[in-house]
Amino acid sequence: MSMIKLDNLCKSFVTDEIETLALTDIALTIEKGEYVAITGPSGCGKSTLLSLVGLLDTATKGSYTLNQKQIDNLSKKQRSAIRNEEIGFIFQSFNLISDLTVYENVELPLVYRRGVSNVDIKKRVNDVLGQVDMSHRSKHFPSQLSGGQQQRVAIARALVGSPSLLLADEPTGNLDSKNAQVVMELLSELHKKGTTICMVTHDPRSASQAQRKISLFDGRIVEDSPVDQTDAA
Amino acid sequence: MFRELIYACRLLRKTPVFTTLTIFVMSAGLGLTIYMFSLVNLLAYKTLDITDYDRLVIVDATYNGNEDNGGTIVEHDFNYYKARQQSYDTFSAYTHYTANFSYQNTSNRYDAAAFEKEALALFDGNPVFGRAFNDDDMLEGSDRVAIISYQIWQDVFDLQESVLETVVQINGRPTRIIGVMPKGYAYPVQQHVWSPLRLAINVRPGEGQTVSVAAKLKPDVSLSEAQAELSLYARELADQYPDSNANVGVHSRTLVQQMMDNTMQIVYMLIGATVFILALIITNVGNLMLVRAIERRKEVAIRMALGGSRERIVAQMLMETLVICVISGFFGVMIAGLGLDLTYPIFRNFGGWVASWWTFDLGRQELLGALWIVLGTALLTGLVPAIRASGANIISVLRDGTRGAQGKIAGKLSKMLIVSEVFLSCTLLIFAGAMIIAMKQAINADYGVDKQGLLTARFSLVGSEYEDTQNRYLYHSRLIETLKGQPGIVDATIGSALPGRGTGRQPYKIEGASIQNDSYPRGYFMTVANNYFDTLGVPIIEGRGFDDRDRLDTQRVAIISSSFANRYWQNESAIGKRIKTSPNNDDDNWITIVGVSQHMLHSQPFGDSHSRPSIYVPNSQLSYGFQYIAIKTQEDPNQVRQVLSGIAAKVDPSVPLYDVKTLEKRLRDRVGGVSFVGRLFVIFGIFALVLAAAGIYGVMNRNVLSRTHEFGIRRALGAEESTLFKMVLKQSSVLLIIGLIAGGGVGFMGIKVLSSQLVQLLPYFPLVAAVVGALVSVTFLVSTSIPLREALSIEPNNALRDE
Repeated sequence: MSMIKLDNLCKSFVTDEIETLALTDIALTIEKGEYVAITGPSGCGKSTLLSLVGLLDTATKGSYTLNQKQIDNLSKKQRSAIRNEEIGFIFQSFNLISDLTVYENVELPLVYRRGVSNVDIKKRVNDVLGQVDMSHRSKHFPSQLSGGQQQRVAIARALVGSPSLLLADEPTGNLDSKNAQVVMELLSELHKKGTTICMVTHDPRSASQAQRKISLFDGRIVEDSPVDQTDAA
Repeated sequence: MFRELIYACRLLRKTPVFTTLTIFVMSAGLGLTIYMFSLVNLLAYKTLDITDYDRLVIVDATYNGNEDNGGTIVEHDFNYYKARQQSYDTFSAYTHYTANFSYQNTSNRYDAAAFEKEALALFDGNPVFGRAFNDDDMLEGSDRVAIISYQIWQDVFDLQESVLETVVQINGRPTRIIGVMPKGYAYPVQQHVWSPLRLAINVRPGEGQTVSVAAKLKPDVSLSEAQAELSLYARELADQYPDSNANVGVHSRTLVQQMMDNTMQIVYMLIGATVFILALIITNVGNLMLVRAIERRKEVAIRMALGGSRERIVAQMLMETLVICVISGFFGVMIAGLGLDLTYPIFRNFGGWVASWWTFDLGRQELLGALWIVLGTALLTGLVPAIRASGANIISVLRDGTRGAQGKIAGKLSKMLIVSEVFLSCTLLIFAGAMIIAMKQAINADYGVDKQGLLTARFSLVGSEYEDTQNRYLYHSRLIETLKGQPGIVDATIGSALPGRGTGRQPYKIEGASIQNDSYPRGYFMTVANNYFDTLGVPIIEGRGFDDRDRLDTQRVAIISSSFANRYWQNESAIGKRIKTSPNNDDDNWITIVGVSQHMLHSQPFGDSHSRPSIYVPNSQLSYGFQYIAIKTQEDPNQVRQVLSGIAAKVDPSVPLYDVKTLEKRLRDRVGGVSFVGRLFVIFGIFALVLAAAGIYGVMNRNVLSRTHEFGIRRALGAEESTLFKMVLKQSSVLLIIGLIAGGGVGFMGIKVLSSQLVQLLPYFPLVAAVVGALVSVTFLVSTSIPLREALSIEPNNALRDE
């Protein structure tokens, strides 16, 4: 069963009356439980594609089906609800809110979700912080953590709402190799547990962790192939 | 420096919207500030062109802490102070009077002053032509002499040198002109005629004429020391002569402040309002400059990386503010000048004195003040942003680009700015609201009289033929009877005072009653025509009105106000009771009360004056020289103005009517000062609200924009727009509440002060506070919502990329 289905998706930006095509005729299907790496050179449209998939932006043309649900004509409110309940985000720059503690950052998706009790929030936050080994830092502020620790917190935040789709935009881009390895292992574990992961990366080693690699160039898909797992090994 | 100036101008030209908006806000604010500074300076702090003006002091008498009868001092007390005081080089007396000035076929009325020789010298009274008073002029029985103003010399004598030694009629007495004052000279207030003041040598305590006192402090004595010394003598007099001097004190101040006549509290409130407005402007423009400074952080970092010193950078950034302030200052001075031009006729209509130095133009003193205001504003507005921008870490700024996120200090500064905006606007609006109520109450005050169709005027019977009551009474009767026969005139009457203005309060003694606090009570004392109450539509609620039975040779009678009767005879009739209006004079006859009239308000409708008692005696038994005439008309009273003046001229051409106006206008003018201040506060309030709205928008815009990235994160995590909207509103509402509480507190204290000076306003505080609170809250919410909506309308993806 497909998790993501994109048909002829296009995205263009208009600056100073000049239209720039960021994505052209993207047709793509990602099945549930798949681990996909989107690669390509800088400016090829990787992050734009991830934003469209994550409902952070709207396509100029084409259609998008997420979890059998047509997304194109949803209201802002409905899109917010889908982001909250079905999608988890991991960013290159962590995107933690500096004025909130680790605990408060992680609980945010559940705070925005209706009908979750405080007891439930506390339990689930503590669980995910335990998963990423950050329970001991729950009262710290992001500025008091290392880059690797911040990304683990960001992963915990992405996981706390039990999303069916995890989107990661260069999750190791700001990390040293040791911390990058820890993050990639965490993603692999999540994939093994059945989470669909869609990761943008230009790091071949990170891409090799995925099952499938989609390469973009100038806003078009130029390659879509399974990852040779012997490379990953 | 020139390079910085050119660069500042180029930057301002590059951002026309910012420049225009800033100059507009600044010009309006500086205009209002300079106007208020000039007005307050003019009214209360003006330095007059009198030699040693800083040592010139006007000493007034007080009764129970208030100044009755213009604060004049009884002649006996003046002599007592003069003989003992050690604080002043000169201690001299003068009085104000009205001069009916007749020469050949012209007759005019002028404000005049009678001066002791030393008093005239204190006011630099040196005639430009002729001479000042000499010792002979001051002797009782010597020829009457006068010095005239340049304007009279010009208008009446066509600047002829033969004016000297010319004999004119002043108040019906031949008077020789001995000098002409310099052009524009009009001290002590707005005088045109000066004559010698001849004081009696021996007068009994509490008696003699009343005088104003001008004194010159010794160089090494302060005003407070001199005041303490005179207060000591006032207490001595009170101990020695309790009947006349108990609760009599003295009050020393400058001539300019004396003219303000106990309204300095209002002046202080105006000063406070001006400071608030200036603070709002500095806050707003300072915030705009701060935003600009943040935008220019990278440029500043590049400059510093290239070796620019911090001082140079600060000076360069200040130059931009200075250019804005100088341009705005120019427009501000224009606005202030225009405002002062518009104010002059308003002050003229108040009906009271208009001091000669109330020129309502921007003189050297005012322009110098304006310059300081402009430079001070430039410094306060530009310095903080310039220092903040120049203090950033060069490396982080150059590496980080122009990331505009707020640091903790900037965040706190934003919060302080918002609280300040709310506090300042809330306080000013509460004052404005209170003043609107005071103004409304003052205008709609019940004077106890039917104002409709009444035309009034003043006249003075001061000639030799009007020296006694009998002759004055005959004139009154003739004038009333002649007027009554005219078409359109229903009735006419005469009195020494009309509602809204008393003739001064006089001590009185009630037969058989003991006095309280060792001093006699005081009440308004007026002489009136028999039909005074009928014409004014004031009912006699007990006893009778005055009639032909009341003559000089019959029992002295009085009508008292119901407020008087209620104060002393709540459970019995006042009719037949007897009072004396010169309690210390054993020869004074008892006056029998024959009637009680409905209470009339004989003062401004403020403070405790509402229920002050009044005593009326018939002008057939006692009549003053200065009188009001009131005619009741069938139609519009303004239509019979010419008739009134014409008839008066026919009855006696030497008695001109002046100050002709309807009673309605007279009463409105009486509260003109409050209306004026009220309108000023309304302007302040509206301006404050607009400034606050713009300021809150500016701060919130910066605040919200700096959180765009955060909003992007929250939205990526599923937060709805409405959730974020509520979150920000909730966070900023705390600031709103703090500002409202602080503003409400200061507003409450201000209303308390106003209540003691004007009408009782405290009961209205909850209403005013609620309306202002709602107004400021709505303004706040709108000003916050607009930038917030803009920030939340950005797609989360773009918000996440926001730098």
